[in-house]
Amino acid sequence: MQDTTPGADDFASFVHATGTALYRTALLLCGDHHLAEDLTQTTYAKVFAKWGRVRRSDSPTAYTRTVLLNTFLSHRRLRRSSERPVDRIPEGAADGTDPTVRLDLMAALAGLTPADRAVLVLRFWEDRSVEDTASVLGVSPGAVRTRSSRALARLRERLGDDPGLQLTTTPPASTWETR
Amino acid sequence: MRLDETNLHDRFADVVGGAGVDLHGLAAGAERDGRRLRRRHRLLSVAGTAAAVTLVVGGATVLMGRSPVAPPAPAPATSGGAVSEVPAPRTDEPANEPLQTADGPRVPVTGRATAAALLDLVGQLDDGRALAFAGQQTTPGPGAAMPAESYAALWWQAAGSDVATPVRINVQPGFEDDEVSADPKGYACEEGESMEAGTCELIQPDQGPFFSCREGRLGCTVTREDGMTVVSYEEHNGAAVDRIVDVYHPDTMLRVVVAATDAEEFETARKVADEPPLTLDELRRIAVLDVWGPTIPQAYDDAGSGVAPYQDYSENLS
Repeated sequence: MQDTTPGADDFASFVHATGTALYRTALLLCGDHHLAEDLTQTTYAKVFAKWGRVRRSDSPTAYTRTVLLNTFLSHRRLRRSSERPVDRIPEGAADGTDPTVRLDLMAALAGLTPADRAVLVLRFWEDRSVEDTASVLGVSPGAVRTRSSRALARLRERLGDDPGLQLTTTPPASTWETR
Repeated sequence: MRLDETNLHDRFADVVGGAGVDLHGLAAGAERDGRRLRRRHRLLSVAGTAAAVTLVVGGATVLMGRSPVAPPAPAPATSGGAVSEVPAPRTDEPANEPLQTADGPRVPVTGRATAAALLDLVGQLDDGRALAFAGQQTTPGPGAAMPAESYAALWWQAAGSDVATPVRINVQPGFEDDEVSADPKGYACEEGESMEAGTCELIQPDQGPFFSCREGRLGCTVTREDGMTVVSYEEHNGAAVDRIVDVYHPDTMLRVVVAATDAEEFETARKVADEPPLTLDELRRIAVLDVWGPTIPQAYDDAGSGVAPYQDYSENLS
Protein backbone atom coordinates (compact mmCIF):
# COMPACT_ATOMS: atom_id res chain seq x y z
CA MET A 1 0.00 0.00 0.00
CA GLN A 2 1.47 3.35 -1.01
CA ASP A 3 2.26 5.58 1.93
CA THR A 4 0.18 8.73 1.74
CA THR A 5 2.05 10.62 4.44
CA PRO A 6 2.11 14.23 3.33
CA GLY A 7 5.55 15.40 2.25
CA ALA A 8 7.02 11.93 2.24
CA ASP A 9 9.48 13.06 -0.38
CA ASP A 10 10.96 15.67 1.93
CA PHE A 11 12.55 14.63 5.15
CA ALA A 12 11.67 17.66 7.25
CA SER A 13 8.08 17.53 6.10
CA PHE A 14 8.04 13.83 6.90
CA VAL A 15 9.24 14.49 10.43
CA HIS A 16 6.63 17.19 10.93
CA ALA A 17 3.91 14.88 9.70
CA THR A 18 4.88 11.83 11.73
CA GLY A 19 6.97 13.12 14.62
CA THR A 20 4.25 13.68 17.19
CA ALA A 21 2.75 10.23 16.76
CA LEU A 22 6.16 8.60 16.81
CA TYR A 23 7.15 10.51 19.91
CA ARG A 24 4.01 9.40 21.72
CA THR A 25 4.79 5.77 20.94
CA ALA A 26 8.32 6.34 22.16
CA LEU A 27 6.96 7.88 25.33
CA LEU A 28 4.86 4.80 26.07
CA LEU A 29 7.85 2.59 25.43
CA CYS A 30 10.32 4.57 27.47
CA GLY A 31 8.13 5.96 30.21
CA ASP A 32 10.17 9.17 30.28
CA HIS A 33 9.97 12.08 27.90
CA HIS A 34 13.75 12.74 27.77
CA LEU A 35 14.40 9.14 26.82
CA ALA A 36 11.52 9.28 24.40
CA GLU A 37 13.02 12.34 22.72
CA ASP A 38 16.38 10.59 22.44
CA LEU A 39 14.77 7.50 21.00
CA THR A 40 12.74 9.50 18.52
CA GLN A 41 15.70 11.55 17.31
CA THR A 42 17.89 8.46 17.01
CA THR A 43 15.19 6.83 14.95
CA TYR A 44 14.85 9.73 12.55
CA ALA A 45 18.64 10.01 12.27
CA LYS A 46 18.78 6.41 11.09
CA VAL A 47 15.95 7.08 8.68
CA PHE A 48 17.69 10.18 7.34
CA ALA A 49 20.90 8.22 6.77
CA LYS A 50 18.93 6.06 4.34
CA TRP A 51 16.40 8.67 3.29
CA GLY A 52 17.10 8.33 -0.39
CA ARG A 53 15.84 4.77 -0.30
CA VAL A 54 13.30 5.11 2.49
CA ARG A 55 11.32 7.83 0.81
CA ARG A 56 10.91 5.69 -2.27
CA SER A 57 9.61 2.73 -0.26
CA ASP A 58 5.95 1.80 -0.06
CA SER A 59 5.62 3.06 3.48
CA PRO A 60 8.26 5.33 4.98
CA THR A 61 6.04 5.63 8.06
CA ALA A 62 5.95 1.89 8.66
CA TYR A 63 9.69 1.67 8.07
CA THR A 64 10.29 4.43 10.60
CA ARG A 65 8.10 2.77 13.22
CA THR A 66 10.03 -0.46 12.75
CA VAL A 67 13.30 1.40 13.23
CA LEU A 68 11.86 2.91 16.40
CA LEU A 69 10.96 -0.49 17.82
CA ASN A 70 14.26 -2.06 16.86
CA THR A 71 16.18 0.85 18.29
CA PHE A 72 14.17 0.66 21.51
CA LEU A 73 14.90 -3.02 21.87
CA SER A 74 18.54 -2.67 20.90
CA HIS A 75 21.19 -2.65 23.59
CA ARG A 76 22.87 0.39 22.08
CA ARG A 77 19.79 2.46 21.62
CA LEU A 78 20.11 5.48 23.86
CA ARG A 79 22.66 7.80 25.36
CA ARG A 80 21.11 7.22 28.75
CA SER A 81 21.03 3.55 29.58
CA SER A 82 18.82 3.65 32.64
CA GLU A 83 15.09 3.79 32.41
CA ARG A 84 12.88 4.78 35.23
CA PRO A 85 9.15 5.00 35.78
CA VAL A 86 7.76 8.39 35.06
CA ASP A 87 7.57 10.47 38.18
CA ARG A 88 5.64 13.33 36.70
CA ILE A 89 2.91 13.85 34.17
CA PRO A 90 4.33 14.11 30.64
CA GLU A 91 3.97 17.54 29.17
CA GLY A 92 0.71 18.09 27.41
CA ALA A 93 -1.09 15.10 28.89
CA ALA A 94 -4.80 15.12 28.21
CA ASP A 95 -6.85 17.26 30.49
CA GLY A 96 -9.57 15.90 32.68
CA THR A 97 -7.87 12.60 33.44
CA ASP A 98 -7.11 11.47 36.92
CA PRO A 99 -3.35 12.03 37.23
CA THR A 100 -3.16 9.14 39.65
CA VAL A 101 -4.44 6.83 36.94
CA ARG A 102 -1.85 8.13 34.48
CA LEU A 103 0.96 7.66 36.93
CA ASP A 104 -0.21 4.19 37.88
CA LEU A 105 -0.41 3.10 34.27
CA MET A 106 3.00 4.42 33.32
CA ALA A 107 4.52 2.92 36.43
CA ALA A 108 2.87 -0.38 35.66
CA LEU A 109 4.20 -0.28 32.11
CA ALA A 110 7.66 0.51 33.36
CA GLY A 111 7.53 -2.67 35.39
CA LEU A 112 7.25 -4.79 32.26
CA THR A 113 10.17 -6.00 30.22
CA PRO A 114 10.95 -3.91 27.12
CA ALA A 115 9.69 -6.70 24.87
CA ASP A 116 6.40 -7.02 26.78
CA ARG A 117 5.99 -3.27 26.72
CA ALA A 118 6.60 -3.27 22.99
CA VAL A 119 3.92 -5.90 22.45
CA LEU A 120 1.32 -3.94 24.39
CA VAL A 121 2.18 -0.67 22.66
CA LEU A 122 2.04 -2.27 19.23
CA ARG A 123 -1.18 -4.18 19.93
CA PHE A 124 -3.17 -1.69 22.01
CA TRP A 125 -1.76 1.74 21.14
CA GLU A 126 -0.94 1.30 17.49
CA ASP A 127 -3.75 -1.25 17.07
CA ARG A 128 -1.61 -3.64 15.08
CA SER A 129 -2.70 -7.16 14.33
CA VAL A 130 -1.00 -10.14 15.89
CA GLU A 131 0.66 -10.88 12.58
CA ASP A 132 1.95 -7.34 12.11
CA THR A 133 3.26 -7.25 15.66
CA ALA A 134 5.00 -10.57 15.15
CA SER A 135 6.59 -9.34 11.95
CA VAL A 136 7.89 -6.16 13.54
CA LEU A 137 9.29 -7.94 16.57
CA GLY A 138 10.64 -10.87 14.63
CA VAL A 139 8.73 -13.47 16.62
CA SER A 140 5.94 -15.90 15.88
CA PRO A 141 2.27 -14.89 16.14
CA GLY A 142 1.92 -17.44 18.91
CA ALA A 143 4.67 -15.75 20.84
CA VAL A 144 2.89 -12.43 20.41
CA ARG A 145 -0.34 -13.85 21.83
CA THR A 146 1.46 -15.43 24.75
CA ARG A 147 3.47 -12.35 25.52
CA SER A 148 0.43 -10.13 25.15
CA SER A 149 -1.63 -12.20 27.59
CA ARG A 150 1.21 -12.35 30.05
CA ALA A 151 1.86 -8.64 29.86
CA LEU A 152 -1.80 -7.81 30.32
CA ALA A 153 -1.98 -10.06 33.32
CA ARG A 154 1.03 -8.40 34.86
CA LEU A 155 -0.45 -5.01 34.14
CA ARG A 156 -3.65 -5.97 35.97
CA GLU A 157 -1.64 -7.30 38.83
CA ARG A 158 0.33 -4.09 39.16
CA LEU A 159 -2.75 -1.94 38.85
CA GLY A 160 -4.64 -3.93 41.45
CA ASP A 161 -8.29 -4.69 41.44
CA ASP A 162 -9.55 -1.20 40.68
CA PRO A 163 -12.72 -1.82 38.59
CA GLY A 164 -11.96 1.24 36.58
CA LEU A 165 -8.74 -0.27 35.42
CA GLN A 166 -9.69 -3.84 34.74
CA LEU A 167 -8.61 -5.07 31.39
CA THR A 168 -9.95 -7.66 29.09
CA THR A 169 -7.73 -9.89 27.00
CA THR A 170 -9.61 -9.20 23.81
CA PRO A 171 -7.47 -6.96 21.64
CA PRO A 172 -9.07 -4.33 19.46
CA ALA A 173 -9.59 -4.96 15.78
CA SER A 174 -6.58 -4.00 13.78
CA THR A 175 -6.70 -0.58 12.16
CA TRP A 176 -3.03 -0.37 11.31
CA GLU A 177 -2.03 0.30 7.75
CA THR A 178 -0.80 -2.74 5.93
CA ARG A 179 2.66 -2.79 4.48
CA MET B 1 -15.14 3.22 34.18
CA ARG B 2 -14.66 -0.43 33.52
CA LEU B 3 -12.23 -1.16 30.81
CA ASP B 4 -13.21 -3.09 27.74
CA GLU B 5 -11.20 -4.08 24.68
CA THR B 6 -10.62 -0.46 23.68
CA ASN B 7 -9.93 0.94 27.11
CA LEU B 8 -6.25 0.26 27.19
CA HIS B 9 -5.90 2.32 24.06
CA ASP B 10 -7.95 5.05 25.71
CA ARG B 11 -5.84 4.86 28.85
CA PHE B 12 -2.72 5.17 26.73
CA ALA B 13 -4.27 8.18 25.05
CA ASP B 14 -4.99 9.74 28.42
CA VAL B 15 -1.31 9.52 29.26
CA VAL B 16 0.31 10.57 26.01
CA GLY B 17 -2.48 11.92 23.89
CA GLY B 18 -1.51 15.54 24.49
CA ALA B 19 2.23 15.01 24.56
CA GLY B 20 4.28 16.83 21.96
CA VAL B 21 7.84 17.49 20.93
CA ASP B 22 9.69 20.27 19.13
CA LEU B 23 9.35 18.96 15.60
CA HIS B 24 11.63 21.54 14.02
CA GLY B 25 14.41 20.73 16.46
CA LEU B 26 13.73 17.05 16.00
CA ALA B 27 14.09 17.24 12.23
CA ALA B 28 17.22 19.37 12.39
CA GLY B 29 18.87 17.18 15.00
CA ALA B 30 17.98 14.01 13.14
CA GLU B 31 19.39 15.39 9.91
CA ARG B 32 22.62 16.37 11.63
CA ASP B 33 23.00 13.00 13.32
CA GLY B 34 22.00 11.21 10.16
CA ARG B 35 24.76 12.90 8.18
CA ARG B 36 27.27 11.70 10.76
CA LEU B 37 25.91 8.20 10.36
CA ARG B 38 26.41 8.37 6.63
CA ARG B 39 30.00 9.51 6.96
CA ARG B 40 30.65 6.86 9.56
CA HIS B 41 29.64 4.14 7.14
CA ARG B 42 32.41 5.35 4.79
CA LEU B 43 31.22 3.45 1.78
CA LEU B 44 31.61 5.14 -1.53
CA SER B 45 28.39 4.14 -3.26
CA VAL B 46 29.82 3.59 -6.70
CA ALA B 47 27.44 1.40 -8.63
CA GLY B 48 28.52 -1.91 -10.04
CA THR B 49 29.11 -5.44 -8.97
CA ALA B 50 32.48 -6.02 -10.58
CA ALA B 51 35.50 -6.62 -8.40
CA ALA B 52 36.15 -3.59 -6.23
CA VAL B 53 39.44 -1.83 -5.72
CA THR B 54 40.12 -1.46 -2.06
CA LEU B 55 41.46 1.86 -0.93
CA VAL B 56 42.80 2.26 2.56
CA VAL B 57 42.12 5.73 3.85
CA GLY B 58 43.14 6.83 7.29
CA GLY B 59 43.04 3.32 8.62
CA ALA B 60 39.48 2.65 7.47
CA THR B 61 38.83 0.59 4.38
CA VAL B 62 36.80 2.21 1.69
CA LEU B 63 35.49 0.19 -1.20
CA MET B 64 35.47 1.71 -4.60
CA GLY B 65 33.49 -0.18 -7.15
CA ARG B 66 33.11 0.20 -10.86
CA SER B 67 30.54 2.40 -12.52
CA PRO B 68 28.41 0.39 -14.91
CA VAL B 69 27.33 3.08 -17.31
CA ALA B 70 29.31 5.26 -19.64
CA PRO B 71 27.44 8.53 -20.00
CA PRO B 72 25.92 10.55 -17.22
CA ALA B 73 22.19 10.09 -16.83
CA PRO B 74 20.15 12.32 -19.12
CA ALA B 75 18.45 15.15 -17.36
CA PRO B 76 14.71 15.00 -16.89
CA ALA B 77 12.78 18.16 -17.65
CA THR B 78 12.42 20.42 -14.66
CA SER B 79 8.83 20.27 -13.53
CA GLY B 80 6.84 23.34 -14.40
CA GLY B 81 9.23 24.56 -17.05
CA ALA B 82 12.27 26.75 -16.56
CA VAL B 83 13.37 27.53 -13.06
CA SER B 84 12.68 31.19 -12.49
CA GLU B 85 14.42 31.68 -9.18
CA VAL B 86 18.13 31.29 -8.70
CA PRO B 87 18.86 30.21 -5.15
CA ALA B 88 21.09 32.34 -2.99
CA PRO B 89 24.59 31.00 -2.52
CA ARG B 90 24.50 28.19 -0.03
CA THR B 91 27.02 28.28 2.75
CA ASP B 92 26.19 25.48 5.14
CA GLU B 93 27.69 25.49 8.55
CA PRO B 94 30.94 23.53 8.30
CA ALA B 95 30.97 20.10 9.84
CA ASN B 96 33.48 19.25 12.52
CA GLU B 97 34.66 15.92 11.18
CA PRO B 98 37.80 16.36 9.04
CA LEU B 99 38.05 14.64 5.69
CA GLN B 100 40.36 11.68 5.68
CA THR B 101 42.90 11.17 2.93
CA ALA B 102 45.31 8.44 2.03
CA ASP B 103 48.89 8.78 3.11
CA GLY B 104 52.10 6.90 2.45
CA PRO B 105 54.52 7.09 -0.49
CA ARG B 106 53.64 9.48 -3.26
CA VAL B 107 53.92 9.10 -7.02
CA PRO B 108 53.57 11.55 -9.94
CA VAL B 109 50.00 12.73 -10.21
CA THR B 110 47.69 11.44 -12.95
CA GLY B 111 44.16 12.22 -13.96
CA ARG B 112 43.00 8.79 -12.85
CA ALA B 113 44.61 9.10 -9.43
CA THR B 114 43.11 12.56 -9.02
CA ALA B 115 39.70 11.16 -9.98
CA ALA B 116 40.09 8.40 -7.40
CA ALA B 117 40.97 10.92 -4.71
CA LEU B 118 38.07 13.17 -5.69
CA LEU B 119 35.70 10.20 -5.56
CA ASP B 120 36.93 9.28 -2.10
CA LEU B 121 36.42 12.79 -0.78
CA VAL B 122 33.05 13.47 -2.39
CA GLY B 123 31.87 10.15 -1.02
CA GLN B 124 32.75 11.29 2.47
CA LEU B 125 30.61 14.38 2.04
CA ASP B 126 27.56 13.17 0.16
CA ASP B 127 25.48 10.06 -0.18
CA GLY B 128 25.42 9.02 -3.81
CA ARG B 129 27.47 7.50 -6.57
CA ALA B 130 29.70 8.49 -9.46
CA LEU B 131 28.51 7.39 -12.87
CA ALA B 132 31.49 8.43 -14.99
CA PHE B 133 34.96 9.91 -14.76
CA ALA B 134 37.33 11.95 -16.85
CA GLY B 135 40.73 13.46 -16.37
CA GLN B 136 44.09 14.39 -17.73
CA GLN B 137 47.61 15.18 -16.67
CA THR B 138 50.67 16.84 -18.07
CA THR B 139 53.88 14.86 -18.06
CA PRO B 140 56.79 17.28 -18.02
CA GLY B 141 60.02 15.97 -19.41
CA PRO B 142 63.30 15.91 -17.49
CA GLY B 143 64.40 19.36 -16.50
CA ALA B 144 61.04 20.88 -17.30
CA ALA B 145 60.31 24.16 -15.60
CA MET B 146 56.69 23.31 -14.90
CA PRO B 147 55.72 20.44 -12.60
CA ALA B 148 52.99 17.97 -13.48
CA GLU B 149 49.41 19.22 -13.41
CA SER B 150 46.22 17.21 -13.26
CA TYR B 151 42.54 17.59 -13.83
CA ALA B 152 39.70 15.23 -12.96
CA ALA B 153 35.94 15.24 -13.10
CA LEU B 154 33.26 12.85 -11.96
CA TRP B 155 29.56 12.86 -12.62
CA TRP B 156 27.88 12.60 -9.26
CA GLN B 157 24.38 11.26 -8.70
CA ALA B 158 23.20 12.16 -5.23
CA ALA B 159 21.09 9.61 -3.38
CA GLY B 160 17.49 10.00 -4.36
CA SER B 161 18.30 11.95 -7.49
CA ASP B 162 17.67 10.89 -11.06
CA VAL B 163 20.47 12.94 -12.55
CA ALA B 164 24.22 13.24 -12.27
CA THR B 165 26.11 16.50 -12.48
CA PRO B 166 29.86 17.10 -12.71
CA VAL B 167 32.24 17.81 -9.89
CA ARG B 168 35.76 18.70 -11.00
CA ILE B 169 39.18 19.57 -9.68
CA ASN B 170 42.18 21.31 -11.21
CA VAL B 171 45.55 20.83 -9.55
CA GLN B 172 48.06 23.36 -10.90
CA PRO B 173 51.47 23.42 -9.27
CA GLY B 174 53.73 26.22 -10.38
CA PHE B 175 50.89 28.71 -10.93
CA GLU B 176 52.40 32.19 -10.98
CA ASP B 177 49.94 34.63 -9.57
CA ASP B 178 52.03 37.63 -10.65
CA GLU B 179 51.26 36.92 -14.27
CA VAL B 180 47.56 37.41 -13.74
CA SER B 181 47.48 39.67 -10.72
CA ALA B 182 45.40 42.25 -12.50
CA ASP B 183 43.62 42.54 -15.78
CA PRO B 184 43.91 46.11 -17.03
CA LYS B 185 40.85 47.97 -18.10
CA GLY B 186 40.10 47.70 -21.78
CA TYR B 187 38.73 50.43 -24.03
CA ALA B 188 37.63 50.53 -27.61
CA CYS B 189 38.21 53.80 -29.42
CA GLU B 190 36.37 54.55 -32.64
CA GLU B 191 37.64 57.09 -35.13
CA GLY B 192 37.56 60.51 -33.59
CA GLU B 193 37.54 59.18 -30.06
CA SER B 194 40.48 59.25 -27.69
CA MET B 195 41.49 58.16 -24.26
CA GLU B 196 42.60 61.66 -23.45
CA ALA B 197 39.21 63.04 -24.24
CA GLY B 198 37.61 60.23 -22.33
CA THR B 199 35.35 59.34 -25.21
CA CYS B 200 36.42 55.74 -25.75
CA GLU B 201 34.02 52.98 -24.75
CA LEU B 202 34.90 50.86 -21.75
CA ILE B 203 34.61 47.25 -22.80
CA GLN B 204 36.66 45.53 -20.13
CA PRO B 205 36.33 46.73 -16.58
CA ASP B 206 39.23 46.30 -14.20
CA GLN B 207 38.88 42.75 -12.96
CA GLY B 208 41.17 43.20 -10.03
CA PRO B 209 43.57 40.56 -8.76
CA PHE B 210 43.02 37.04 -9.96
CA PHE B 211 42.29 35.67 -6.51
CA SER B 212 39.65 38.20 -5.61
CA CYS B 213 35.93 38.76 -5.83
CA ARG B 214 35.73 39.82 -9.42
CA GLU B 215 32.58 40.87 -11.16
CA GLY B 216 30.26 37.99 -11.78
CA ARG B 217 31.37 36.06 -8.72
CA LEU B 218 28.30 35.90 -6.56
CA GLY B 219 28.33 35.42 -2.80
CA CYS B 220 32.07 35.75 -3.08
CA THR B 221 34.41 35.56 -0.12
CA VAL B 222 38.18 35.75 0.10
CA THR B 223 39.87 34.37 3.18
CA ARG B 224 43.42 33.85 4.26
CA GLU B 225 44.00 30.66 6.20
CA ASP B 226 47.17 28.74 6.96
CA GLY B 227 49.08 30.71 4.36
CA MET B 228 46.48 30.03 1.67
CA THR B 229 44.23 32.41 -0.19
CA VAL B 230 40.77 30.88 -0.54
CA VAL B 231 38.24 32.39 -2.92
CA SER B 232 34.72 30.95 -2.78
CA TYR B 233 31.91 32.03 -5.06
CA GLU B 234 29.08 31.07 -7.35
CA GLU B 235 28.55 31.85 -10.98
CA HIS B 236 25.05 31.81 -12.35
CA ASN B 237 24.23 31.03 -15.92
CA GLY B 238 20.54 31.60 -16.23
CA ALA B 239 19.05 29.39 -13.56
CA ALA B 240 22.09 27.13 -13.40
CA VAL B 241 24.58 27.50 -10.57
CA ASP B 242 28.28 26.74 -10.60
CA ARG B 243 30.05 26.70 -7.23
CA ILE B 244 33.77 27.29 -7.26
CA VAL B 245 36.45 27.32 -4.61
CA ASP B 246 39.88 28.50 -5.75
CA VAL B 247 42.80 27.99 -3.39
CA TYR B 248 46.26 29.40 -3.90
CA HIS B 249 49.41 28.61 -1.94
CA PRO B 250 51.82 31.49 -2.62
CA ASP B 251 54.76 29.75 -0.97
CA THR B 252 54.58 26.69 -3.25
CA MET B 253 52.68 28.34 -6.11
CA LEU B 254 50.14 25.53 -5.96
CA ARG B 255 46.63 26.33 -7.15
CA VAL B 256 43.70 23.96 -6.55
CA VAL B 257 40.26 24.67 -7.93
CA VAL B 258 37.28 22.50 -7.01
CA ALA B 259 33.85 23.08 -8.48
CA ALA B 260 30.38 21.59 -8.63
CA THR B 261 27.35 22.48 -10.69
CA ASP B 262 23.67 21.73 -11.01
CA ALA B 263 23.92 21.93 -14.76
CA GLU B 264 24.76 19.32 -17.35
CA GLU B 265 28.12 20.98 -17.74
CA PHE B 266 29.92 23.91 -16.18
CA GLU B 267 29.37 27.39 -17.56
CA THR B 268 26.14 26.41 -19.24
CA ALA B 269 22.55 27.23 -18.51
CA ARG B 270 21.40 23.63 -18.86
CA LYS B 271 20.24 23.19 -15.27
CA VAL B 272 19.30 19.59 -14.53
CA ALA B 273 19.40 19.30 -10.74
CA ASP B 274 17.92 21.29 -7.89
CA GLU B 275 21.33 22.41 -6.73
CA PRO B 276 24.98 21.42 -7.02
CA PRO B 277 25.79 18.28 -5.03
CA LEU B 278 28.30 20.04 -2.80
CA THR B 279 28.16 23.29 -0.86
CA LEU B 280 30.87 25.94 -1.02
CA ASP B 281 32.13 24.82 2.36
CA GLU B 282 32.32 21.21 1.24
CA LEU B 283 34.23 22.26 -1.86
CA ARG B 284 36.55 24.30 0.32
CA ARG B 285 37.20 21.33 2.57
CA ILE B 286 38.36 19.36 -0.47
CA ALA B 287 40.39 22.16 -2.01
CA VAL B 288 42.46 23.03 1.08
CA LEU B 289 43.68 19.48 1.71
CA ASP B 290 47.42 18.98 1.57
CA VAL B 291 47.00 15.81 -0.48
CA TRP B 292 47.08 17.80 -3.73
CA GLY B 293 50.23 18.58 -5.63
CA PRO B 294 52.48 17.36 -8.43
CA THR B 295 52.53 14.03 -6.63
CA ILE B 296 49.73 12.06 -5.02
CA PRO B 297 49.59 9.14 -2.54
CA GLN B 298 50.18 5.87 -4.29
CA ALA B 299 47.00 4.45 -2.78
CA TYR B 300 45.01 6.81 -4.99
CA ASP B 301 47.15 5.90 -7.98
CA ASP B 302 46.37 2.25 -7.35
CA ALA B 303 42.67 3.00 -6.95
CA GLY B 304 42.71 5.16 -10.06
CA SER B 305 43.25 2.13 -12.22
CA GLY B 306 39.81 0.93 -11.11
CA VAL B 307 37.69 4.01 -11.76
CA ALA B 308 35.46 3.42 -14.75
CA PRO B 309 34.26 4.46 -17.18
CA TYR B 310 37.08 6.95 -17.56
CA GLN B 311 37.69 9.31 -20.44
CA ASP B 312 41.30 10.41 -20.78
CA TYR B 313 41.45 14.04 -21.88
CA SER B 314 45.24 13.85 -22.07
CA GLU B 315 44.87 12.63 -25.63
CA ASN B 316 43.46 16.04 -26.53
CA LEU B 317 46.48 17.96 -25.30
CA SER B 318 48.74 19.34 -28.00
